[in-house]
Amino acid sequence: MHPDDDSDIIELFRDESTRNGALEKLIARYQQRLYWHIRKIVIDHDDADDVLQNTFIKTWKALAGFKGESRLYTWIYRIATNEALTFLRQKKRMNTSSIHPIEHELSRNLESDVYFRGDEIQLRLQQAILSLPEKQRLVFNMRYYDEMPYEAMSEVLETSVGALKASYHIAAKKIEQMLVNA
Amino acid sequence: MNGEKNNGEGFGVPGGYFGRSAASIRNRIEWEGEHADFPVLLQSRKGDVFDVPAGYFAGNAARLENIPYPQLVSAGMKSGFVVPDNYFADKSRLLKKSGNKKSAIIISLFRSRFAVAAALVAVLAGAWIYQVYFRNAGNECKGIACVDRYDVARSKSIEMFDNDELYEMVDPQKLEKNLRGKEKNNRYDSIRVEDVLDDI
Repeated sequence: MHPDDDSDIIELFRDESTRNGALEKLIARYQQRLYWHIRKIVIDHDDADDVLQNTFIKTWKALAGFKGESRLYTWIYRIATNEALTFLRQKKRMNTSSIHPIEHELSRNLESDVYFRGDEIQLRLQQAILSLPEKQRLVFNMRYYDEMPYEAMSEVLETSVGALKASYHIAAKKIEQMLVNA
Repeated sequence: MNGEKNNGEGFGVPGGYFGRSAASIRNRIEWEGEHADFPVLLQSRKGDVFDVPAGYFAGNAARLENIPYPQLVSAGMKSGFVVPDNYFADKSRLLKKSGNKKSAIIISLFRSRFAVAAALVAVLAGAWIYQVYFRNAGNECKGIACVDRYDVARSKSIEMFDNDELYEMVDPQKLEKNLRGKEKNNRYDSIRVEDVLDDI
């Protein structure tokens, strides 16, 4: 069975005696993919860890109501995205002492982050991505790093394919110029 | 295997593989085309710039599996026990103990004379208390003969009895035996049976 099918997980979940097995499979199958997606949004490892845990908690609680209208992974991916964005917005609200936006703080922290092992170019690239508006940054990360098809992205972000393509093109152009001019 | 029909060479593929593979290839071609105008961006692409602590995913899986048990999660998986400052850093305490060449100490229960003497005193005292206060309880007669004079005098129902009724209730032999028994505290142990009956 192809891992993207996920019907095995749904079947395990529906049977109360095997429900916990569904969670184990879910974690084994998607933990890393979700983590890296979240990490690119929130940047910091500890924050990504928190968001990942919240994502699985919410997924677990809502799984009984999953109707199968989209693929399970797309559904969880959407939960992870919303959790990451909510986390950043909360962090922004709590960050009242700084006049800079939260992305500026993340960008600055990246330079001294022990869990960032990119070179100078990678650092500039990440800082350029952080300067994008929130949704554009999401689209960019999902397309540039994950090579996510626009159709799948449309399900996650609930935006039309055309709008996503345009958004990505604008973001890529902006970052290309920043890297060239740096 | 629940998959595509194999080509006769004994190999199979997961169900829907070729359909997905075609979509994946198309997506890749599209992606390459999108980045043709952004060479610096293309060259800068590196997937593993972020790192995680060693063993993070394996350890995290164990932690995430507690999600169905929210009380455990909210307890923070901490025992709550604390130790004094620098407890683990202070190795001198352990070195002192490990350098001690003494062999194991055998503690004998009979070693302390004081403990043995105290135990004997406790046993003897218990036996004496039993002998004095509890042993005679079995000899207590059931009849009015064993009732103390004052209790009899205070009892209103007894006072209403006439002498004949009282005499019938009393067992003189048992009464005499008890009155002339070994109870030293009884004020009336020297009084005759006849005198007691007269007073009642």
